[in-house]
Amino acid sequence: MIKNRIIIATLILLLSVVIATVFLMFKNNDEKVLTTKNHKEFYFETSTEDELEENLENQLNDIDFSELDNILNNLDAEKTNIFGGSSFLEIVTKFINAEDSDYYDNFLTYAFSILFDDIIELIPYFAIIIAMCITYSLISQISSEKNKSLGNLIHIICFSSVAVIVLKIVLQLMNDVSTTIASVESQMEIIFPIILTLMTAVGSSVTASTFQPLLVILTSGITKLFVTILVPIFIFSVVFGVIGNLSNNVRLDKFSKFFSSLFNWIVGIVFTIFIAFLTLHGLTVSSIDSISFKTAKYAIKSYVPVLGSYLSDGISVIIASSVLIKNAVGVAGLLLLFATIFAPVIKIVIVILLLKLCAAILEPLCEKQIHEFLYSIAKSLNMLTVCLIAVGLMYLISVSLLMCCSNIL
Amino acid sequence: MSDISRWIISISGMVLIGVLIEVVLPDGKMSKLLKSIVGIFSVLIIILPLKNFDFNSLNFSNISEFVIDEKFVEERESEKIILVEKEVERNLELNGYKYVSVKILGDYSGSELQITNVFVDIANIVLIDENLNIDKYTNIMAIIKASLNVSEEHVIFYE
Repeated sequence: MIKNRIIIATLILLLSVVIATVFLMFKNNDEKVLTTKNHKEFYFETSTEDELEENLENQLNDIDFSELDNILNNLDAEKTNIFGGSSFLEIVTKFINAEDSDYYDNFLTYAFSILFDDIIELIPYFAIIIAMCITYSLISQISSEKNKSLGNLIHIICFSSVAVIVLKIVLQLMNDVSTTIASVESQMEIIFPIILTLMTAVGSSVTASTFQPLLVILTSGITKLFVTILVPIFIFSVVFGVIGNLSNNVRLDKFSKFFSSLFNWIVGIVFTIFIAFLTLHGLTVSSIDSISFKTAKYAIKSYVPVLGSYLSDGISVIIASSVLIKNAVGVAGLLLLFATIFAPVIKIVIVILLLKLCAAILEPLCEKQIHEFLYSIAKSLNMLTVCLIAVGLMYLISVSLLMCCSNIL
Repeated sequence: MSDISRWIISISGMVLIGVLIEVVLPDGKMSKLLKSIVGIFSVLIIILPLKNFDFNSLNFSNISEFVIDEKFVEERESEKIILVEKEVERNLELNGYKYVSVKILGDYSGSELQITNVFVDIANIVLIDENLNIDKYTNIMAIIKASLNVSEEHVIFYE
């Protein structure tokens, strides 16, 4: 028994020694591996960071941002303050380095300033409209009983005066919208080639060539459609809104509704088709470049053992620089878009709300035609907002998709 | 735009005539008849310009494509190729062949480097003692083949 116990004890001791030795061996190996790996990682981290910085600088210097600088310089000082920089290169560099900036604070300050500026600018016009209508209401109360023709004449004079004031504001808004769409179009014409060039440089030539026709259609075709067809439709809608309420004999308000409906259908169809094609292309094509890049990276590592690893790291740095610049240009472009369309959209919204408020105030005071006219103009003005938001949204979705694609590392 | 303003002015004019009739004429059969005539003319004025509308003006076929900055793309390609060349030269140096210049002719527009030719300049080559008695062409060729995965006919030596 004792003999057996001694044998078992010896075996356990031997087993413990073996396990301890093996454990120590593995531990030493692990330590060795970890040490080399750490050293290698350290070596790569420091050198890669320098390489990346150098590559970024080279590539940023090779891109021509002068046209975007011109757009930036043409913006108001308030809008330029949002970016916290005077040149586009400076803004892109800030985004790449993820530097802290007061974009949101600046944007909020800008938003509040234009909000109050617009309200202060527009309130006198609406005060005049309300004053005129109250005066008309008082005069018509006196004259209506005695002379119907005089009452009609006063109504036409009052209505025409209100219409002139409202149409002046509407024409100003229409010009603002046309200018803004033209500005967004020129931004697209500059930003899209830069992003497509960077995508091609990254190796996503398939994605770039697939997106190009759609982006060209958006830049030239859809914006042209908005300016040449949808803005005139808005004019027709406003004109029929005015004329339809001018006289009880010639009723044309159904024409206004027809143009409003036509506008909605055109915007709906164009927007849906464009977004559907863009999203489908984005989903299918982006994976092709990513897969081919990963296959090539794997191939270079496995077929060319020593060199492959260094090479794929080096090339990854070049590609990473392009991807970083592409995304930073995209974000800066979107910020520029917000700065461009925010002010007109806010102004239109304020006008719509003030028109509706005016219509509500005048409803118990005036004849049906005046407050219905104000309300119909407010409804027509929604078209201008839709024009701006639709163009902005299509641009935003396109840039966002381009930013999501080609991140092939 | 001038056509649109003319159209709008004519519609407004017609409606104003209608308003004038309403104001001036007393209520009666004549007034009703004139109002109907003004209504018919207003609708005609609205509809008639549509037949003269030039639909060709909405031609979107003359849309130009975006111009990709080929110079930028080529520079990135050449950067990648230079990186490969340097790595091959480094690899040769590690194997005892110093100052060998490697130039790669190829396309790196996609994700893979498509090598057309590899030019190896050995005019300034410096050999370490171990390599003195070995056929340098065969050895360099073997290193380049292993490094770039190219066949022999694409590697051109010159001194």
